[in-house]
Amino acid sequence: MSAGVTETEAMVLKALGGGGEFSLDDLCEATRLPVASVSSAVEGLWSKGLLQRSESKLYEVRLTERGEKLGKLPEDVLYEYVGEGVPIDAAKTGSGLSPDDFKAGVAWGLRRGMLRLTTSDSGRILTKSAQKRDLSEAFDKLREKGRLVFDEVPHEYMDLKARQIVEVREASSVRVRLAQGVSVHEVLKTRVHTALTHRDITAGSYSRFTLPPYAFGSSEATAALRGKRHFYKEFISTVREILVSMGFEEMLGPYMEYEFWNFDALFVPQNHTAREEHDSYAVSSDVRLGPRPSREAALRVGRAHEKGWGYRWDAVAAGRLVLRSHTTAVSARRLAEKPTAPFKYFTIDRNFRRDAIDQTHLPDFDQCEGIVGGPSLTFRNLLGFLEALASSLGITKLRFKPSYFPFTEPSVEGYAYHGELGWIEVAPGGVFRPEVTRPLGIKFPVLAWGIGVTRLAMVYYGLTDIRELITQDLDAVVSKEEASAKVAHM
Amino acid sequence: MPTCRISSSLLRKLIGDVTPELLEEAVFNLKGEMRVSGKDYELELTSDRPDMMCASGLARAVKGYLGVEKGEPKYVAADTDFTVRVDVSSLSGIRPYCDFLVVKGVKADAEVIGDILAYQEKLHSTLSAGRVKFAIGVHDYSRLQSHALVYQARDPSQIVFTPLNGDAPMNANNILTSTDKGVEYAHLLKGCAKYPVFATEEGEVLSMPPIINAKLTQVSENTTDFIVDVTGTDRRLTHAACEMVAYNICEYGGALCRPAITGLKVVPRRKFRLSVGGVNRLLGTSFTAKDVVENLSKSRLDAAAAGGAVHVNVPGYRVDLIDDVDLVEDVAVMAGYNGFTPERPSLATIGGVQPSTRLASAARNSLASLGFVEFNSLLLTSENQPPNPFPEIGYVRVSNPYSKELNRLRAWLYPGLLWIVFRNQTKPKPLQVYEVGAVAYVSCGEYVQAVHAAAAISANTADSLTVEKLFNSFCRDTGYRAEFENIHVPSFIRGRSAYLKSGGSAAGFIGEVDPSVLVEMGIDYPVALFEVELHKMAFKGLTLT
Repeated sequence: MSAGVTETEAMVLKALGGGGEFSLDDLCEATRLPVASVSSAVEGLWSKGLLQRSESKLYEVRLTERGEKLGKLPEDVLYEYVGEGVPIDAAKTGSGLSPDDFKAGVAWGLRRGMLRLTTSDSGRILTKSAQKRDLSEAFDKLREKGRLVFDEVPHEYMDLKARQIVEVREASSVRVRLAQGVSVHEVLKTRVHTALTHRDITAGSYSRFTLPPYAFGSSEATAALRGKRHFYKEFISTVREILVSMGFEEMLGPYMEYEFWNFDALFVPQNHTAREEHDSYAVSSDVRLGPRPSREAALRVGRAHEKGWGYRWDAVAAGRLVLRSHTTAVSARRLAEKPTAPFKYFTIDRNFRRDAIDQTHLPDFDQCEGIVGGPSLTFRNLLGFLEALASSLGITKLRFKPSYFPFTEPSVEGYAYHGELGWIEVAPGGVFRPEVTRPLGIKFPVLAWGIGVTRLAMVYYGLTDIRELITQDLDAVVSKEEASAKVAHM
Repeated sequence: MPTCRISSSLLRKLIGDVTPELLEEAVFNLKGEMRVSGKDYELELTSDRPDMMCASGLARAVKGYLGVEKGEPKYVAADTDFTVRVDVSSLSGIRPYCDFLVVKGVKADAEVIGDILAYQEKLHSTLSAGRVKFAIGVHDYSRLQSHALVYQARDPSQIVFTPLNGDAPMNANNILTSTDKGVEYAHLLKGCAKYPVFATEEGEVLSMPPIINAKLTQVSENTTDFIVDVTGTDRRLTHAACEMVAYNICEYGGALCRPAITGLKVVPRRKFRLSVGGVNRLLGTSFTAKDVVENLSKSRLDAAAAGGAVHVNVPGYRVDLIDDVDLVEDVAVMAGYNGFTPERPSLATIGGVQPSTRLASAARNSLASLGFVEFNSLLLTSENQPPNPFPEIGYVRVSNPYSKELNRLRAWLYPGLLWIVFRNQTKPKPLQVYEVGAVAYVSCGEYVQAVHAAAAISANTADSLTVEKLFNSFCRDTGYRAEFENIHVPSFIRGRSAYLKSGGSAAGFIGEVDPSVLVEMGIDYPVALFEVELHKMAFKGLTLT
């Protein structure tokens, strides 16, 4: 005999305690529990060997739809109506029965000897003969109970079945009794509670029972319905937190931008392919954008272009509006504000490029960009920042590749080593060219770098398709690990 | 980044025996990437070094990096009897700039010629942006009777020659309308009364730039003597491209000659005086003048130390060298970036984030804890959206969208949320989704950027009471103060929506979405939502806060 019965099992046992056989219905009535609880308790008690179970074939009788509609059997209606004699044609309309019921009432009344049909001068007369209550009583009993269960169906109901007033279904019935030699009192001492309740604590009953062990990891518990922050936005927050911890202050700039800040101030010549229609989005709305660059800065930028690139710089082209193609535009704006050295600024924000959406491209995407300014800063300092950043992100192997950007010189691309993917580009950077800093009035070196946050997030989350970052699927968001945990595990 | 395909056997012939690993390392440090593709190498190179985009140009740089050859190559200067007369006045406003070089005694074969011609096309498509800035012609001059050349613009009717791949003489207008190249590049001469032509004084035509060369001087694998002509609209690049092509032909063993050009100023070589202290200040190194000279020579530049400075005489083909810092990078590249010890300076600065970032963070925490799942969407959206709840607000539109679906910046987050509800209709209810993020719009003609928060709930019933409770909790969490104005919001159920006002100005809306809007989007469940403007950005100086 296995130890421990549950609360509902205990209730069923108590009901069985008086002895005798019980059906599930009996037990439901005795315990006031729903049938589902009772049957699971019976199943439990049976598996513990505490009760005996017998199963037998039963017949369940119910009214048919037609039976439900009848208040009385039609022959009973006619028996009362005709009394000492009514012409049949008058009875047809006067009895209140439908033509079908009237027909059936006459047929069965005659067959059962309750009615008699005589012929006289005034036509055929229907009169009552002898009262027969057998079928009527069976019918009334069923109407009252709704359903009746029999080992063997009485003939009255078989007759009613033939008349399609009742239906008979086969059903198996479980009957249970206490197993031989079981002491309900003893078993109840082993009662198990499945959950601790408020009442258990206030009544102090918790000391009298043991909760059943719960096998963690074996159930089919799925994730709960819940709220969740987006993993990619959290990843960006983590990067932001790292930068703030390194003394970087956040800067923000507009998505819609003058070409001046997006290109000219960054020494991108006006005939550069990146400035053409097929690369950057031109703004068509009639709209003004904040303060314009100072005349002085504009003139100096123009002169730097004319000297460096040898073409005639056009101030009108610099005033056109585009959706910014890189966050370096924000760095240019910040530098033009002539911040006091030393300084460290960063931004992580959206940029726009005319690209088709595919596995590796999104038309708007995030860039993380930082600038560090101060006298006596060097290219080796830039490498130092890239290394520190990478290590904060859990990257231990970093190598540097010479690179090219129109606005930095020397320029570098930091490659991180990934166990499965090999060397991946993660951190471009460089020292801003004098053609960038001098026209904006900055007289000391400014180190500039970026982190490929999108690429990194994809690597951390093992994503092969950039579109997974803008997924519209709830499960894809809910199933992701927290970003700070991801970085900690790297 | 521009790409090119280079024959591996040709590259080996030029460089000598070098393992693919060493070659790959050299290319990596010359800012490129290399992949083996059959018998060829596929290269990706940065756009600042167009001189390296062929086998011979790359070989020159790689040999320097490996230390096999140093300094600027000494292509033997041979004498030439070629002269070029430039008729400057006729060319003004058409293609005023030009340059010419002669290379003789080249031992070419089919592979070499293939490399030279492919290089020419590579420069046309990248640096020249489709023959706009300059056009290159490479000719076999052995067929010419006269060595007196003339470059001028002539009346189209006076230009008659057999074009490349043609079999009979044609006039200029026919060439523009009935040859492939003519059709492809005719737009470059549009509106010109005269067309440029490169010919001998005897009338032998070499080319009609920037359209097509003549058949007469077509190069073949038997060509040993070349004329390179470059004509263009950009003086600096025209000169540089001529050197790039001629020098890269010279790498195959040719001798370089400069014809006497009359009528045009020769572009002088550029000279830099590089301070050794300046190099070390920028890099954080302690190079001597000798180190600097050595590294520049590996970058195939002639440099000489004198009085604490290094003097560098720069060839025209190095278009990337504009300022001292460009030479400093060459020094650093040849010294090897990975040989520098990274050094993190200790700068006492205080970090921090913008108020909008803090507010967004509070809003995100609140909504997640209220049971909403966060989404991340594009800022670019389409016109196909529910009606604008604030009709006085305009959109930031782009005139050249890549696809029609993405042609303006989002001014609201809630349309994106409705699409997300649509996509997740089969998921367990209640479905609760949110987004906190940037929006941009036009208000009173001014560009406005703001951070919005929007949250939507969808279930068998999603009513105003439910969403108001969630909104009230959100307000408590974020300290957001809003008043309800029970005025109908377009695209919401009449009588079951309200505008939100914060600090006296319109700040958002809340309510039950109109079923007709839901049906239009294919959503089968009720949706209630709210959206608020958490923070409107303002310019403080030139940046936003």
